[in-house]
Amino acid sequence: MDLKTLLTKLYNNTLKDHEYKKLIEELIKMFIKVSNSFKTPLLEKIAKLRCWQKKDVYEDVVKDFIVILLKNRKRFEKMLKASEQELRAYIKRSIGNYLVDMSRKKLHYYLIESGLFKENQEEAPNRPIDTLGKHKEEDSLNNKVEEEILHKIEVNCVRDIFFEVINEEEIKYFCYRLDSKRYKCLWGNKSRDAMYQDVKRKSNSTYSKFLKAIKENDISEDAVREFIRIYMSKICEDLRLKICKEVNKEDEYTEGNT
Amino acid sequence: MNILKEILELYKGLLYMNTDIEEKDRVNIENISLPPFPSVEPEEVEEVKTPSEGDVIEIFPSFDNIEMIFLVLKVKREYYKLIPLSRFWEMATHKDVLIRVKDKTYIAQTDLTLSLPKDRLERISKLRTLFKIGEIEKEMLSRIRRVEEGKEKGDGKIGGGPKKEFKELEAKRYTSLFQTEENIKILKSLKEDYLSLAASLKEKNWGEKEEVRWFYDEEEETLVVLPEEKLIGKLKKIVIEHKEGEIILFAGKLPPKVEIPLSKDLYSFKAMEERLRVKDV
Repeated sequence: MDLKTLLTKLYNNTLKDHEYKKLIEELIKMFIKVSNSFKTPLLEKIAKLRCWQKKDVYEDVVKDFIVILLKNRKRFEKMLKASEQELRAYIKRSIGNYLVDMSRKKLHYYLIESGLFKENQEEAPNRPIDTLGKHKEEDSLNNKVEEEILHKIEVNCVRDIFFEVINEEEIKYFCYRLDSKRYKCLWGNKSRDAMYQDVKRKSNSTYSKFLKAIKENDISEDAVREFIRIYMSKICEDLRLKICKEVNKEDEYTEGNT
Repeated sequence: MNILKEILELYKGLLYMNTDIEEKDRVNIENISLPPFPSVEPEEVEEVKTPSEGDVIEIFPSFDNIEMIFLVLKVKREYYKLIPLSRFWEMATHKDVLIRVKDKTYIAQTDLTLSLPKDRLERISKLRTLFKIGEIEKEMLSRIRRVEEGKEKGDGKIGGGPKKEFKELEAKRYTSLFQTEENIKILKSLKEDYLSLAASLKEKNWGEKEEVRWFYDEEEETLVVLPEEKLIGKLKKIVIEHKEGEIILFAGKLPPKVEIPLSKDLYSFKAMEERLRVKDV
């Protein structure tokens, strides 16, 4: 029995048990084939697309996919008029779209649940997406969740760009701007004067490097401001803990006392 | 890790997915337990012939692997002003507005606005189906207009990097809307005319004239048109003039690069040099 016959029966709700099984089997095969086209490093890691191979997972996925087909009843009806070959291409395209959306949802979920947005936990959406990436009811009427995720992704990208163009040696000039007293130790034992001289000499070219990258990537001021607000103190604190010997000693001392 | 790069990869994977693949490999599927047969409430979509302002329409089936959905921004006497929507909202730039249609989120890509002649949409709807999948509230429609006119910023805060590449790929997708059998016939006859005039003439792959430069990519069989900077973002049409009129290759807000699929047997340097024009819509 070809796919077209099976899908026509699905459309008409006249599938017998053995035909339903055959259809699921056909779709699973197509899913495994199509899913091999979508492998990105991060998705490999988090979504483990290969888990389609596990029977219990793909059965669920295929069932979910059938629901989508039936939901798109009018489109489905149009495609049933096409040839077997065109219909197969349509189903593959639909599977591809389904997989990409599922991967995106997993990616959103990962972004929220992993430590990535945690620098500003109180502002992160409070678990708006469940494991399958479905929205909470109250958020489904507007784009609040998407807007929030979009901006988190963007701020995160500014951070990526920052680390791409600014090396560890240069981060201190940004920290100096944040709090020159607190981060003086990033200049080691140098005198205050020597630090000022160094800042005077190198900070502008360092800032320009970052600004140039901001311009090249067409990033708005808002996003840069957000990046500074969310990440800069943490970046400087991490650097301070790593570099400043006296701070490390101080921490050891505090730890010892507690 | 760059999240936008990951999403761009997914988009590209989908766009270039080969749907001809055959399931030759055997897949071992044993003991499938049947999930209960689902009962489903079908989504409400209706077929339309002449959409109205604020309607969200889908051309089905799409010209490629990703759905083609548009917001009808304006209905003019001769054409529709259409804004392509994309569900890849993570790629939103300063020119995109996040919108919700039924239970799905899209970006309205105001920098990719098209001016599709009414007869062209009519023809498309004869070969494919035009579904109305929803509509946009007046308030949102006015906001999209303001962003489209450059009076307000959209929802994204980054325009470069992977987002730029995404935009270029998106812009390329919609040029297929302007291709017609008739256009192909005319281009073919133009090429033949020029060939008979100067059979020994070597075809050049690039050229330049007032307001526009072009390059023909033989490998990709694509005509790349690069409008002058002052024209970018303006509502214009790129046409090839001929005896009875003009062939519209593209009409809408001009992106920095317009990529038009064009097979080798249709490209003629002379036809481009003499007949390629950029005009007001």
